[in-house]
Amino acid sequence: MDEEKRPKPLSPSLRGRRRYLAFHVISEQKILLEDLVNTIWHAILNFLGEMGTSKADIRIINDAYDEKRQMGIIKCSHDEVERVRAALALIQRIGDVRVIFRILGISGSIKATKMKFFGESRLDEFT
Amino acid sequence: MKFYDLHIQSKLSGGESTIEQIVEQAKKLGYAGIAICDNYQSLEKLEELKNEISRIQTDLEIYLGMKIQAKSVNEMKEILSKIREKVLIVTVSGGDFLINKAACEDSRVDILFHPESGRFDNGLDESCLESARQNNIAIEINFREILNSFRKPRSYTINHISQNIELCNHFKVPMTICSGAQSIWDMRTPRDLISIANAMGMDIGSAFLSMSSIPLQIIGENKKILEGKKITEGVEVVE
Repeated sequence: MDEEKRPKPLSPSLRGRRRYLAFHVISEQKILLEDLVNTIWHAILNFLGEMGTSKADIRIINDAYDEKRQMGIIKCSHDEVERVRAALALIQRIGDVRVIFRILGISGSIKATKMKFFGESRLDEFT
Repeated sequence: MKFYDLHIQSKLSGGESTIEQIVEQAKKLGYAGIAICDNYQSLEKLEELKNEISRIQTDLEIYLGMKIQAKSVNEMKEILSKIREKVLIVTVSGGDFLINKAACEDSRVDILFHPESGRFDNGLDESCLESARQNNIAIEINFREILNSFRKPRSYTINHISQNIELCNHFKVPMTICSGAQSIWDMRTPRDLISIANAMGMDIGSAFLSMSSIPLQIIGENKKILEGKKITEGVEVVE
């Protein structure tokens, strides 16, 4: 039923190329995911504008956020990686907490990002 | 690749964090070396900073820098002659056009910090850049200027820094990217600062050099002078 409502996924050659940015939030206090997501959007929209943000094709992978270690993944278009990185470097506060928003690295898939930067190595951990 | 941040201000001159906190954070962020660049207040304060730095035991390279915040060109020159022999990196806080110009014309200066600060233009003209190139004075791209401004002022700051990047490329003036941090929360990883510079129009290769080989060159040249191995430009003591 659901499949009929959605268009079929495009073949890889037709899909836009994407990159996954692994990040780490350094802070004195615990950060809530909701505040983090709002701040990321706010920072990117402020720096790149609406047009730039749409080109950057931003998605915050909520499921991949590790609340304990304050590490997560952001998806963006491969052409806009440097600009997105720059926008994220300008985050100073999340809510009332002072932070350093640190990009750990960039990879081509969620799986590889988790393996490289989150230290996950077994297949059953990629959930 | 080794990265250096040559503009971090400690608690001793209006900053928020102690040198220990700065060192710890710089190591976490992946720097090979930093320069504590406090505002010049007096020779006693300079000695105090020197002692504070020498007391710290770490594998991070820590250099002593001094920032001259002068109100007039004469004051700048006076402070310069007092401290040039005593510190490794001498920098001038820019903003006033006459000070920007005088700093570019004086070969005792190593880096001119934020020439666009508090101005409605980029703060540098052709003659400044020509002199900076001849005297090998680096122009700083200050991250804190962007970080601490919002909306309209930030857009002006970015515009002026972009203009300076373009002009420095044209006149072949060295550039250095610094955090200008006054607290550990203003510090960022070298790669993030490179992305900022890249977003403002600096090509990625030059941005890498601005955080690695250019600071290293400044440090190396000044070390030679302080150790008496280099007398002046082109005259060195060879053993």
